[in-house]
Amino acid sequence: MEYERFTAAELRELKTPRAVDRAELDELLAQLGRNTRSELDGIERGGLTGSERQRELEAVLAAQEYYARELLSTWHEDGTAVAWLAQPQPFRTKCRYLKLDLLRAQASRSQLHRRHLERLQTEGLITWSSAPEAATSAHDGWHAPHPDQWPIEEALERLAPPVVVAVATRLLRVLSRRNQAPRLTPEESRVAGLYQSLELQLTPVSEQDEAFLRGLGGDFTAWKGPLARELNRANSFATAAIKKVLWHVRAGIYLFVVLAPPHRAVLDGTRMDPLLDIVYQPRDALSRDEQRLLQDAPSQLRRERVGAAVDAGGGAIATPLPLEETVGPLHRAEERYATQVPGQAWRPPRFQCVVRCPMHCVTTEGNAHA
Amino acid sequence: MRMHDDDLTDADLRLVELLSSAPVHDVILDGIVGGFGVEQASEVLARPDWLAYLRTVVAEVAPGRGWLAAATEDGEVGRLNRELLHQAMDVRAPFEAAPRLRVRRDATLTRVTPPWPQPTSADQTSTLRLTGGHATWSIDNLELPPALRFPPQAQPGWVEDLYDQGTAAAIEQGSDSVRVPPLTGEPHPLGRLALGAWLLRWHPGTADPAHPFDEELLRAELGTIAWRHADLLGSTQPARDWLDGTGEALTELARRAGSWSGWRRRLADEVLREARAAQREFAPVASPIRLPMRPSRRVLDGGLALVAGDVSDGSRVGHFAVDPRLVPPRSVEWSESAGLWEITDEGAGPQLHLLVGAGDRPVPGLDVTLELDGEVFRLRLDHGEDGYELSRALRFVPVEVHADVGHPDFPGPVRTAAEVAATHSTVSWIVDERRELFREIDGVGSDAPDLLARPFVAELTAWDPGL
Repeated sequence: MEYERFTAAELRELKTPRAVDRAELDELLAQLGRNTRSELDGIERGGLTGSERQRELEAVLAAQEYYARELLSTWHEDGTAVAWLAQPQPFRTKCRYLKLDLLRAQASRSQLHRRHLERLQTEGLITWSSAPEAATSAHDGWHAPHPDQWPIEEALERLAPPVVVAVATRLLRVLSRRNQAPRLTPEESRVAGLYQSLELQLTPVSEQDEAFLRGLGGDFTAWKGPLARELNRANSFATAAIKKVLWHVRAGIYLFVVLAPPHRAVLDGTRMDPLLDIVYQPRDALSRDEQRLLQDAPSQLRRERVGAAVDAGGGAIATPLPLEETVGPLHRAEERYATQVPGQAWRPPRFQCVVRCPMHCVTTEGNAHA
Repeated sequence: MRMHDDDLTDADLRLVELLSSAPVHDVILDGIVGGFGVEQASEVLARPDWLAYLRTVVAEVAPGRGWLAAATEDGEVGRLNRELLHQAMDVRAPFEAAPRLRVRRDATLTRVTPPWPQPTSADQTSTLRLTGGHATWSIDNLELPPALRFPPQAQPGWVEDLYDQGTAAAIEQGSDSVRVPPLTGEPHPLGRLALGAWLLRWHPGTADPAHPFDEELLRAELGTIAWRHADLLGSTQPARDWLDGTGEALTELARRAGSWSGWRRRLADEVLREARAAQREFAPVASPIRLPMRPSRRVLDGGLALVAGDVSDGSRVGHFAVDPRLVPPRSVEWSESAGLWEITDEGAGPQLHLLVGAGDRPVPGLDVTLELDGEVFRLRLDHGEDGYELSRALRFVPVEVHADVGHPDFPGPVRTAAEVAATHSTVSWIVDERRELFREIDGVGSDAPDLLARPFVAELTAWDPGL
């Protein structure tokens, strides 16, 4: 790509924020789109394959996303824009650095980083000057939340119902197409679909289920027994599946809203999938014990509240640990997971942690775009 | 009428109630994630109830990458997506506010601090003294703007250089909260100088006696950067200081780089070209080429094994850490147990032996403060064949032995073993990560030489002694 050459004075002007109207801003966004397409074309011409090509593409799309957000958020904050952000040169430079970031994020280096952090956290030597008020480190500072203030319950009360419904329906769609845990079997997916259609009135009835419903003779209130018979399952099958669906919805609110950065709930199914893998499948990001804690937390916190336990690693709740001994590890696991959620640009991550420490429970001011 | 399951808990029933209390519009949810088509966008814009739904959801869900991409399209698709995105950004403005620099002032100092966490430990930061102030980079995030300190009445011109004109003006006008300039991926070249200075201080060395870390080469590289940015550093003196005595290292680099290719060759050629240009300018005062100080280093394992193997009945042995902050760079073996003490008694009374492993660049001697059962002795460890050694007869056999090693040119507080271990861990992590990252730099290909965090040639030769 041939770059336009600028004088020092021109560069200075391009890099200085100036007031623009919406038409000018829209033109800058359109120019950003042209920069993106040019880089994408270059990748196609380059004939790259495999992970290298994927990394190049990801870097270009991430650069586009960063600059688009930057242009939009600045303009909506104070009506200015930095025209330099729509130039091809900084776009390509950003792509280069993002490629480097992607390389750094690869598993081997993540493991290296994780070992390092584990070491420092274990020794209590991590200090973050941005949170001087946070005497609480990532693994101590336990204080009992108010019984009615567990993060999940609070999130359900705080969020507008359309947001809860949006996350829930997207999650159920993801669970229905997954081949590995957590997932809904095809039969459970049918129950989930009918439940959403008939009882929650969220989604239209599928073609497959229209035929089934015609067989009910107009009485849609008693659909579970006939469905169980059609599926050759016990009568309790639909009820059990519905309970499973609700359990997953609660877990989804926990993973995709409570542990997400403030005002950045996860709605994109393609982002939900890898996050579910982090919590349920063998991955480097979390240990098995940490995964179990995150898997159990939604239901255990809801059922037992203060005074009971989240299982710390045994699977069943055979020997509950005192809450004080369990919440610390859960708090650590939450932080590990929260760093993986898209949009989590803060260190330490910001989310509604189980102990409400001031380090994690920060509102959106002063966000870093690191 | 909706049915309720008796088996559901109260909390589940509340959840069911919540789920059944709101609509879901898949078209809008798809658009928030992936962008809207012309038809969908037109419909949303035409229906107030759908627009209200969109605004409700985007209060908690950020516009997805696909929607942002659609808003950069040409034509009607782009126009309609931008229209919708502006509606969303009206709602999200409070949550999308840009990060802000904090500016604190007192009678003697103005401090400008970026909003992201600033490492508080010296081994994770690098501070450059510039004309009329200081700039501090986080080694782990060189691409982020540095923290600054300068006198309140004399804001240096380089504030604009390191941030931008608008930011510098806002600071000068007294703002205590200033929007962070966009991170365009164009970190300031002085960040590279900060990285090199950090490596010069903290690089642990190669632990390979045949190929020690080439400090002179790194100094030459730093000299070229300092020469290029002498205006910001106040003079060419830092460049002169760094380049002084690096002729041999540059000559050796020129010889070795002749067989290199690709981006490594480009890095080496750039260093040689810049160094030659700088030295031409400094020629009248530059010192003659001299051999770099590179004392022979003995393999330590044998020495340590000898001591350990000679332990007789009744003798005692222990390890101790040497704080790398308190000794010259690479003078001591990079290990959390670089020091060894042993008390023996072979009939002539108790003897204390101290041995500290030497690094790539040993110094003639180190100081040691010994505390034996509370009694304090200040002694000197001389560099010998096996490292820094000391043997002394003892008047008594102590129960508690504690040793703190230091060097008079590197004063500082004594730290706990855990703090010293954290420094080892941090430095090793940064250095190891750079090595692993740039071993795969071919994945970045031709971009490598343009990256601020690109390897210094001295690092390349340390990672790959045969290069």
